[in-house]
Amino acid sequence: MAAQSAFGGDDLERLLLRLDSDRTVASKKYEEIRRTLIKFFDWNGCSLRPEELTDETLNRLAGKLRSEAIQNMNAYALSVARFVRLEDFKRHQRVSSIEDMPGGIEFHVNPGDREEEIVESIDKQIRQACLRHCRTKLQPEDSAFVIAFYSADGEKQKVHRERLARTQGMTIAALRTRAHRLREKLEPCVIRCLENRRKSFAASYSRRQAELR
Amino acid sequence: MVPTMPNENLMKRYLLNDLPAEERTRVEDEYFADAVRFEELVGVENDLIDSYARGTLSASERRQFEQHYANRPERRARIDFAKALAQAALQEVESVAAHKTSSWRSLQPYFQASRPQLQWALVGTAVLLVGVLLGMQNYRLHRELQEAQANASQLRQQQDTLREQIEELAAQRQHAPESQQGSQVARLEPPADLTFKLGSVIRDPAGQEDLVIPPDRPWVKLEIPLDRNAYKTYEAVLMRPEQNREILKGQELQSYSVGGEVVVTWRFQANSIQSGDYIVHLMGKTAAGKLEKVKSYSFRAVHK
Repeated sequence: MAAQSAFGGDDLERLLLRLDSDRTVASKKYEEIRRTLIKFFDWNGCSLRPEELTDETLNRLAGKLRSEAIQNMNAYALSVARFVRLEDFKRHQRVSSIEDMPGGIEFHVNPGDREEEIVESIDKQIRQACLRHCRTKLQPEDSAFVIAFYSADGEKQKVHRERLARTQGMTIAALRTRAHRLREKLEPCVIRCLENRRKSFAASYSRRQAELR
Repeated sequence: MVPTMPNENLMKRYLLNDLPAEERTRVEDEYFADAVRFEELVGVENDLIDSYARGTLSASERRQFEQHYANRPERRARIDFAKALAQAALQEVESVAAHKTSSWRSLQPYFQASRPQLQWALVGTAVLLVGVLLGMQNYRLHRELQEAQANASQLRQQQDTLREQIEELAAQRQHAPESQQGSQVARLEPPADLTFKLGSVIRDPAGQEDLVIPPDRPWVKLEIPLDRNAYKTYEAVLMRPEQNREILKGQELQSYSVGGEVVVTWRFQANSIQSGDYIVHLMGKTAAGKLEKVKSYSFRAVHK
């Protein structure tokens, strides 16, 4: 897998070389650090997109390698990320507004319940259609696995996943990692699909309204 | 909610922004240094979103999740994904349960017989049986296909009816005052909670208040007034007066100031209670973790 980067070729080469002398292993390690950084910025509720802050962090990390010998890359990446986070907080003192609350402004008003029930029913169908569509893009065994992994909740979850690990001949940690990677493939596809279908539904609804007028 | 390992609780608190700075730093140091710990944290996050989407978080976890986690559009999109996943998983579980009732397993022991003649006889019978079963299966699938086609047509009709109803509602709204108009349709959000404020301490039956639950309100939010806010968290227990057992329990409940009055809020699913009389016992949790009785309230629930 080729490493994706937002910075210059020399810096990227230097960073990859520092991660591992084998190019494939280095790319894999680079993607792991990038994924951890994205989650770090997401979990810290930074105001800019986590991907942007991650690229900024990796850029600085690669720049440091020109002048410094870094022993522990992960620990160093974290310390740079903390600076970037601090700068983000200072730059964007978040002003909390009702639109930021769960569900946006609609969550806090008391709209017509019947209408919401209808809307939820249509939305459920859209969600199902999108998931079906995106599952076809996975290998059949991966598609079945991801649903099987997430098919238990609450008290049954642990036992269910242990049983699944046994039948798949994997450790729990490996099973979890496989499920997370597949979820990370499936999730953006479903989210994009939902956005498109909702837009298209809203547009067709507006057209019908205009025709009625 | 499932009892969780202390480590899992710590991770949840990290994700819900509920850890002191020092502990946050420690968690971050750990997951940057250890890929397994990082995957565990990703797993806890996914399970947290799934539990929220499936409505299985405790009231306090749900409130924290909404305040500290679900407050960004990209995270709300992830909740949408989790809802789709939960629906698909539920269908899978139902389909597996149906498959288990199949009689195929009962044939297995006959194929494990030791004598060759008997095995051939069994194989012959099995082939015949498979043929008959396939014929029956084919017939059944044909019928199911016809039913599915009829259902699909019915669903299409329902969808058209729903669309017409939305259009009617929108038309009605055009005649309503402007302040009541909104743009709910394209937003596709869940119904609001049914808020019900409890009255004073236990009264005589004539003085009881009614909690009227319409069928389209899946969540009830009880507001329990306090004379004095003396505890950090509260626990509430719902009981039927004639039965000496708990129907529902809310833990780690928080107090809020609503219109100058301090109330404890408790959110639960409307279908977890039936129509009838109820008593709510409210207890406060001391710093030592001991529960002390605060007050009791009564009300009558009526499902419409």
